[in-house]
Amino acid sequence: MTITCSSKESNFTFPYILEDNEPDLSLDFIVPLKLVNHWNRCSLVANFFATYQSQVFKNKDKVISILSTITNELIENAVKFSCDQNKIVKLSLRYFNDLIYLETKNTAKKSDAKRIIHFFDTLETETPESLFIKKIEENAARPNKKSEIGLLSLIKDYQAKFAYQINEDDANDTATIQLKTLISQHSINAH
Amino acid sequence: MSIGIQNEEVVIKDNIIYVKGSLRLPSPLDYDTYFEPIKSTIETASIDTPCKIDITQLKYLNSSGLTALGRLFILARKKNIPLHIIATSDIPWHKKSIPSLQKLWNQITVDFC
Repeated sequence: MTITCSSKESNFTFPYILEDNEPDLSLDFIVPLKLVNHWNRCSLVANFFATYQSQVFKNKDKVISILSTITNELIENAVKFSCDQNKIVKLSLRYFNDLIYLETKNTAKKSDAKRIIHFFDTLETETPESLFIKKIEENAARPNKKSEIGLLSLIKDYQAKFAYQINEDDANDTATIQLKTLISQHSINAH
Repeated sequence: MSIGIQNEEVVIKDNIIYVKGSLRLPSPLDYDTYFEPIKSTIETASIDTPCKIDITQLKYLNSSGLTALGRLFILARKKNIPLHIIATSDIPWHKKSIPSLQKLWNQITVDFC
């Protein structure tokens, strides 16, 4: 069997020095959505990462609140877009030069990977604030639709910068999504 | 403790709905049961009496929860019911997300305490 792979990258990339450094903290975990009582693991991991990183900040309570909110959305996004609920989700955190760099890695259906690309493409023509309201209105009209405001909130509220790398596996109709998120210490302190 | 919820409570006292705890449920629809007291209050409210919602003790609300809250704000708009949200500037997401949701309906007032 021949496995064909293709790769897609966002136009925006992060400084290599960030990605080349070993993570300060990383975790591989599984959240099987079939067992809905495992969902709370997303929040537990987010709170742990936030509390761990908050130790280098002065206003720890505020930083924990912001970092937990950001990390939780990234984890929930990776878990929801995992094609196989027994596949591992990878989360890592690096802190360098007042920048917090969070990365998730998960395996999704190719169609879901395309939705991620489409989401970032949409942001080139619409502001995060207008898209946020539009998504809420759409969801009110079609309640079964996914909310799709998680990543959007991080851009709108915390000036998060995103880059992605998507490696498609055509044989299995899946794609590995690496979603890279950069948050500046300044945007956290501004709250 | 329920799924994705910690120290949760929705209580109505002196005509104010208090939403408390940490709410991170998997989807907007999962909030239906939890937000039912808010929905029924909006549906039965009078247009000259604002529906008051106190979230000062709502520590976390994920994006699915924001969507569910936004749906309630749209319901209030459809019913022409004014909303009065009592939030706190001590919780960072309140300061960011509530003013954004406020744009859904021009009869929403927000107090930060």
